[in-house]
Amino acid sequence: MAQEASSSTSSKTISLKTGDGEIFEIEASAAKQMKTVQRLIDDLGDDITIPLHNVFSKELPKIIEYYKKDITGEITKDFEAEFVKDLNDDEVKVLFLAANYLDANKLFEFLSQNIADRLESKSVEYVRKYFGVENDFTPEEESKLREERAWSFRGIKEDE
Amino acid sequence: MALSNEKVSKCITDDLALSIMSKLPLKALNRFKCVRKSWVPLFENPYFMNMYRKSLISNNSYDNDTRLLLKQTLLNSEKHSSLYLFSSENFDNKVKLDWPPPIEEDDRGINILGSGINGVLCLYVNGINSKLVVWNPAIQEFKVISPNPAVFVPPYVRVASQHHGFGYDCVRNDYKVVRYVEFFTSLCYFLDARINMSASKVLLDPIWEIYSLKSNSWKKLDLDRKKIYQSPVGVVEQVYLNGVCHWLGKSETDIDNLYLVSFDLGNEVFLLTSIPSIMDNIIDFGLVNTHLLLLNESIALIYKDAETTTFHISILGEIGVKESWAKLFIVGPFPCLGDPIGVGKNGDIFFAKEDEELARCDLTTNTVQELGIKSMFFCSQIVIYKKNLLSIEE
Repeated sequence: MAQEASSSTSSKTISLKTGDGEIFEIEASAAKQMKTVQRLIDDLGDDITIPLHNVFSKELPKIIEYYKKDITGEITKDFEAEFVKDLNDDEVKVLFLAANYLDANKLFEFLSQNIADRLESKSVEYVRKYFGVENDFTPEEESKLREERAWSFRGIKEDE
Repeated sequence: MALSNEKVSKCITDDLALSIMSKLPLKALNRFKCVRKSWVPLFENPYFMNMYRKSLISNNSYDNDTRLLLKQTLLNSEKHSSLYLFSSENFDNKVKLDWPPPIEEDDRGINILGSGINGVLCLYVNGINSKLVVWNPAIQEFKVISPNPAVFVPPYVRVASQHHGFGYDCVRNDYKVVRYVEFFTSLCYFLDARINMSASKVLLDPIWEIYSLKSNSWKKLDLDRKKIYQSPVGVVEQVYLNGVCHWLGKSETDIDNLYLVSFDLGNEVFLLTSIPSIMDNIIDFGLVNTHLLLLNESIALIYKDAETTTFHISILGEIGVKESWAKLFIVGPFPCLGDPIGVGKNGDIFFAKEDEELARCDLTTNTVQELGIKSMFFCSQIVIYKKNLLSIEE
């Protein structure tokens, strides 16, 4: 296993290639925060373009932007709020899945919380669609369940 | 964890979905149990519950500037109550703070009402010469609150007040204090003391009052006598959250129930939430083993089961909804622990021990750490505080 990458100076950059063939540069210290990338660097060396089959050119720049801020210690609540402000729920989901694939823990935790915040006032049907989950209740089972926990449905707009 | 390329952008696996779910408040979590069958028993799933508890404990906005204040009471020394500010979680570096006038170190029974709000504390001393002060220690600014009630009190009538809440009215940008006031005649018209007591209670009904810092005055709250819910204990455990003061109370007219009483400072309305009988249908009317705490942003009840010396902690999902209490933690057995005296920055709970020393309980590891600090039983408090350099008046 090539070991040079672990002690590289912060000016060293790594090339990442997305699933749709685009190449982006990232600083080695930022790459370290994404454990999947670091593992690939350890296996393949840091001079080779690292292939990321499951991450695409739409989301990788945003992830790189996050970790650029992270290595300079500039991540604040304001930055994080701004980071997700213009993203819709599906865009955040894509980023979340990419962060999971890249094993980028800090971003993953932040995005999970952000998705939870977005889902907090949503309906059961919305959550099913969002997670791609099938409703496996019978209508009678479901209405009984809803009745039992009626208080948690109060004030929530249901979309039938 | 291998996902095929096409599905990645649409499919969230169950364990990923659960890590999102673990960050939801109780109300939403409860609702989303209806999403699919495997989510109905989520509260019985130890893997999920560990995630949920961890998330609850770490979800707070406390930063490095948020500190802990310890009010330490040692009645066997001249200086009865001392206040210390701790800069680290180890309680190594402590700074003693002087009480603001008119409170003095040899006052018996100095208490912090609730917690620090925007760096402001409310202190009170009960008794014949009761004192009530609103204080910002960082800029040494204080305001003495007159203890005189809003109603006319004849000179032969004594006033006994029980302070139930200190909070911030976000609507009017004003600090408020809520209290329950009872009146007693001090003269002995009758030889029999019990007749005296009954007679004195007939004279003036107890009232609820609210103090506004901006207007520097008490105002009587118009309440139906049947709906008066005061704390059955002397020193009220009170928590403040988002413009609402909460305490545990019962009513003279509704003797079979114990409630969480929530007073909204903005619209001056009381809300009641029934407290479920936490163990074996026992209702702890004397509040001997039941305490109210604020666990990060959640209202929590902690109940000590004396037999097993375990502590059961339940969180409230929604004010006013009895079914929304969820028991989330059982810690112990800790036979040495007595009453909780406060909550720290990481959801750790501080206790007074049976041997009159303080200890800290870590909810996630179910361990207790001794702090080497002395304390009289029942009397100490630990309060979260973040200094603020703005004047109280702003």
